[in-house]
Amino acid sequence: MSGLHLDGIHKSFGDVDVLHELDLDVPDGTLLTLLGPSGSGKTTLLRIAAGLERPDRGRIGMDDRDVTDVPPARRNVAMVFQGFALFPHMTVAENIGFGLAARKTPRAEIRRRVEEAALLAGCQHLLDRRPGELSGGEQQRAALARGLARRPGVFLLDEPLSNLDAPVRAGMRADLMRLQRRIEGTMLYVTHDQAEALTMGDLVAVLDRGTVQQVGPPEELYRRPSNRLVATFLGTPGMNVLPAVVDGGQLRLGPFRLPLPRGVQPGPRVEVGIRPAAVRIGDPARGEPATVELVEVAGEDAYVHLRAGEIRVVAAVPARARPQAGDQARVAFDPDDVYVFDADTGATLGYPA
Amino acid sequence: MSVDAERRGLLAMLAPYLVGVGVLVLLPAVFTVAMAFYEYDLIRPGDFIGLVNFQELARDEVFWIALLNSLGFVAAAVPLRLLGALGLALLLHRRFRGVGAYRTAAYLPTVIPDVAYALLWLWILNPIFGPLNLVLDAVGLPTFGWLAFPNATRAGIVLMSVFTIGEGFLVAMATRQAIPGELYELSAIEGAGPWRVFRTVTLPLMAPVLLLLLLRDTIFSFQVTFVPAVVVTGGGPAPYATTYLPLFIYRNAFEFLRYGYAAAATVIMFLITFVIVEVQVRIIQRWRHALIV
Repeated sequence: MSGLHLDGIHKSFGDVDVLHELDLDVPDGTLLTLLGPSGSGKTTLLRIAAGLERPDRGRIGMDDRDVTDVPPARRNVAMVFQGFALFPHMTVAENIGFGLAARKTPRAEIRRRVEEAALLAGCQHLLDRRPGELSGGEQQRAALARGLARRPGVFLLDEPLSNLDAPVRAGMRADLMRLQRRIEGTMLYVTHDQAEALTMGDLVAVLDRGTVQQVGPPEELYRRPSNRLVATFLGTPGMNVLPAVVDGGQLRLGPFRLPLPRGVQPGPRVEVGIRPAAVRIGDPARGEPATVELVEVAGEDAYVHLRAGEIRVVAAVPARARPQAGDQARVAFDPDDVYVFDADTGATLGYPA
Repeated sequence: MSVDAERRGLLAMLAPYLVGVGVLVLLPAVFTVAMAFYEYDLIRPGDFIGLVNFQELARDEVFWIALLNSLGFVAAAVPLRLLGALGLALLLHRRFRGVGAYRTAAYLPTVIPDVAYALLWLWILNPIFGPLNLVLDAVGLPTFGWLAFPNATRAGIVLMSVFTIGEGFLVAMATRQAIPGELYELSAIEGAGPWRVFRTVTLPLMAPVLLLLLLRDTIFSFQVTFVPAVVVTGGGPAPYATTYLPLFIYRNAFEFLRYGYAAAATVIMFLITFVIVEVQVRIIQRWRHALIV
């Protein structure tokens, strides 16, 4: 296994800058999830790492080797595609052994490595079948096994679970994490699903508009987002972001007042971020009057859309304690769970201790 | 709409085609098969003579020459045409500057009317002032007595047929374009070289369509020799170097007015085509598990 280092990567297609002087390190043995909205350039970055695209500027390193000019075949990477990219005319075993056969590996060795990889990926019982006879989850296991068989230094995974049904996806997610721990693989894992990125990644990188907004352990990104974009991208439902005014030692947003978090040097225009779970409703002794506009029930939780004057917020409450649309409620914000952003740059000025 | 009404609607729409096929194809085919057992010269009423036409064919030296000429043409032209269509498809399936012009050029010979195309080749193949020999001579290659010597003339007819592969080319190109690009990207990452990718990815995935083209071209190639033989070679060099079955049939029917005899030769040609196609289908079915996607 080896680490992957992207250094000053720049790529444009015609007039469109897709990647912008981008730096990213995937340390040896780490699963880094690359999270970004569609069009953020994450798949392009993956293809550059694989060698399928050339960056306009910048270097790509694997361990101490500069592979910028090395063709894909000699980069020692494996790629797992969103659409699996299995050869329909080959059996699963032939698919898994394709790269080994291309590298003139002896037949007995291919068979041994194919079986070993299939066992790791959980498709050892499918070796004689063809992709057309497999379910989506089984196809993805076969594609994973193919990646494993060559024992590459770096795995590149392009939204590998997004073509799968939800229940299969949950199972595959756990299996993939176990697999990664077991082989201590270096993985760059592209996804647009923030829950997937947070649960799977040792590290999460949020990509937007061609640059990495923040890299770090998932909890750090969730608790200490470096800017508004990262903050709003992580968590379901998304963080409430409200314009606010600094008034003495307080933040004033509509009828609400909140203490300014310690150590914050507010700029002229700020915004306050409050996660839906930090919005309290129902305590008649506290908070400001608000109207319940809409209630979404998502299993155990309900997301309550509220309006208090000009302020609209979403609160996450237990579904059993939810109000009805049209109800009047009192709304308060947990003062210990407040984020402050610079309204102009989006940079985080303060977050909960 | 009820199922019945829908059926009636479909039938009504199919009717013109069905009538056309019935009157112009099936009916003449039935007549031809029947006529093979008659002696008929278009003037006197036909006489039923059983298998006499077939017995005479078996003894007719010209028929055997025509049959062998046709089989030789099919054996040479069909693989070359298929390779040509595949080669052009692989060259021109990508987008690049000017590809439209190349594709048009590849297809163009196919849309030229047969007779005009044959007249063009009459000039191209002229051994003395035809451009083919002039070009061969200019680049230092040997020239041939196209239209003068039997083997060179047969080769010339095959050469003619190799350029009218526009339909096969289009079908092969569409098939190549339908193979997902991811499979090629994956092959590049997995370290497969161009020849390996062609052999283990492109060819197997195109195989079902290529085999279909093979069958179609085999049937087609038995008939395609007619215009070149009439216009370019007149069936020669003498006596029968490029007398193929269609020309043999045509001469017997319309020059010698031996309709029954020509019909019998047609039936033989049909049976041979049928047998070859049937053998190909069986071979394909045996290999099917490795090919069908």
